[in-house]
Amino acid sequence: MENPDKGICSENVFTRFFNQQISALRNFLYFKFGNEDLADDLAQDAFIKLWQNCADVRHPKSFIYTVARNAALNQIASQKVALKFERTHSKDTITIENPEFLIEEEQFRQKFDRAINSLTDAQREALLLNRIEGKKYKEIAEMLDISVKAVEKRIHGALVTMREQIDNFR
Amino acid sequence: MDQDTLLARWLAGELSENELKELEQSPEFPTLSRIKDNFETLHKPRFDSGSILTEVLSHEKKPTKIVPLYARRWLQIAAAVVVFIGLAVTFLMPTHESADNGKTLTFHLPDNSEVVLNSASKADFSSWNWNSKREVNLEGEAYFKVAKGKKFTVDTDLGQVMVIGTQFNVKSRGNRFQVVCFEGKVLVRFDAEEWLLTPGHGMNFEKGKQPQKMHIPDLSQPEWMSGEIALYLETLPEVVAEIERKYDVEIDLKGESEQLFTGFLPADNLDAALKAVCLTYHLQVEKSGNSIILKP
Repeated sequence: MENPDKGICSENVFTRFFNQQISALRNFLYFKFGNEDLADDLAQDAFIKLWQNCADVRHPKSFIYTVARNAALNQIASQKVALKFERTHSKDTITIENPEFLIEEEQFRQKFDRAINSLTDAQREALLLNRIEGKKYKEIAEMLDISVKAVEKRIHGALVTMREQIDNFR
Repeated sequence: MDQDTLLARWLAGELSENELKELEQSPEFPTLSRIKDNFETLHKPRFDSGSILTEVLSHEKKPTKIVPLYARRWLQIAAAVVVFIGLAVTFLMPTHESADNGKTLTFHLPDNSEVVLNSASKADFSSWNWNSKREVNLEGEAYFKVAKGKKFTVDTDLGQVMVIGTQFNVKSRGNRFQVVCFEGKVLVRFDAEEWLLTPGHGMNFEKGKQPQKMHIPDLSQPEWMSGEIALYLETLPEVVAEIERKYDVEIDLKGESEQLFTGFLPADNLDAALKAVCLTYHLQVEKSGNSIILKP
């Protein structure tokens, strides 16, 4: 019999693993659904399942993503995606006292946000995991259980769509 | 290179020089470049991971590893029991030997003792532990040639025979228990009494009657083994039953008689056997098809 307090069953090991993974998992769900409460709940459920079944789980990382993906499948995507992003305003844009430029910047940001929300779930989660969570394509492929090539296609498609949206609604 | 992953590879900085040059000259590039720059200003969405962890750790771990192990242990025990019963059945169950009407059967016991079963007789013995406990259960009649060794017991419903290396005949039919010794010494137990038999001597027991000694000199084996039916002070129904067993026929006996029969009947000639019985008891034989009727 395995020691029930070894490996991922140990609270220390589990906490370290949790801190490494929670942001990517939670935000993956947020990027997918655009709903913060739902993302928090599904991420929490995945970690609860891992904690409860720690003795039986061999690959904790693929376990939490499998649980989260399966839970996501059961979510009816009824709500409109409404991702909101906090931004760093570069010093340049603040210091340059050019109202026209500032207005144009703000318009671009609005179009940018709208374009992201118009992407398919698959495109959006892949693109944002890469751009915002800083995950490499290979890591994203593992999280989503798809090939690296598929991740690249989604991200390419996402950029094509965003570029069209932004340029066509000037 | 693949065009459907081009922009993904551009983001990752994996484009070749030519691909990059081509992309930078395309009319879409300024907007793409601005999109890329805009991502740099975005913050990771913030949330309270600490409260999620607290909530997670407040749940109990399931002791899943323990339950299946017990389950498997019970399965192992159950499997062992099944195997053990199987072996026990194989080794401890008695061996059955039987001879049908009209047939005899010769077989050997584990110590090479020979048993010849007369018609319509059954013998059980257990091969397991045979050499320390030689015991045969007998229904009907059989001749034993016992190999030398430890005590050999023949158990019947009526009485017991115990010997050490000898030859004898045991008959246990109806109320009749009859033992004849042909070689060595035979100890017979009937109704808690014991008799010691020497070659050429036998005992005839019938419930409610006095035990009778039999003296059969110059006989090396029972008559039934040489194709004869030997009868000693038998009642008419028992004589008829003996013929039925030996010839595998059914006889409807309609006569009665108190007279007892002692003598031989042929075991290979039904008509002659019936005739001998009819002459003694003044009966007529009537045959119709397969049925035989004996009537006054």
